[in-house]
Amino acid sequence: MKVSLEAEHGTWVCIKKGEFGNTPEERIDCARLLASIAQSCKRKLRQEKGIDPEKIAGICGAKYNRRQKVYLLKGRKKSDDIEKWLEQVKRLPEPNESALLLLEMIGYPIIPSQKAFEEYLKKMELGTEGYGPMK
Amino acid sequence: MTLKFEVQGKSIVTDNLTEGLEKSSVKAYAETWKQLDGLILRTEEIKKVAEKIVPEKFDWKDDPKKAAKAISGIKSPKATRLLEPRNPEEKEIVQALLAYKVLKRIGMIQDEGQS
Repeated sequence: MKVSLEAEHGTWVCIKKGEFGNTPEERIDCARLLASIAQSCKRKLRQEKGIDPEKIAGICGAKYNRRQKVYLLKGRKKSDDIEKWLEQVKRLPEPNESALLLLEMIGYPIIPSQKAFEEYLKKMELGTEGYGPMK
Repeated sequence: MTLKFEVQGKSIVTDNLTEGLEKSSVKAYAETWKQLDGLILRTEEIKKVAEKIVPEKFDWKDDPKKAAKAISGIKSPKATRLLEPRNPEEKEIVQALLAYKVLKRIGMIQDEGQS
């Protein structure tokens, strides 16, 4: 399967390409590229829509993680707190995108991290038990 | 041409950056999950768990309290038991798909072709 993204806008350029077969390893690798494309598109889309991560982080109290370059709020989140934060983001100009970013910050992403894919692939290639096609 | 996204022989080509990014991200998310179905994920079972968490679709903006409960359900011990992840990486991947399905049911994410 061929996957490619070519995008250019001002000084922003994004090129991601790959061609994959149907082995389990290649399918995971293909999913990893698609996830990376989805994340790049989302990041730029939020920027274009003027969504301010700092503002969202201010709502939920997330702190900037320099190593991962994202805002994160660690620890268990109570349903009451999530409700309170949703009440605030729903009033923002881009409520859906803002809410998705809030959920990423508090530990509910809709796409796995690149690290999860990489670790999974590494262990699968090593033949670690429990990694690979489901029975 | 500002953006061209090609997958499975189908393309999104546009000069409208926002529209292109919106459509491409929706498509890329959906295709990511298709690649993993039956390999790391049992998509149908995850869909059923999402339907247990959100029995009836609603708009999260109309009921943030109900939406917050649904979101909390994504990482609940009950949902994790039902999903049976085999290892920590699979747990993260499975929970992300469950989040994707749950958030679709509460109207936070648009469906493919809805844009």
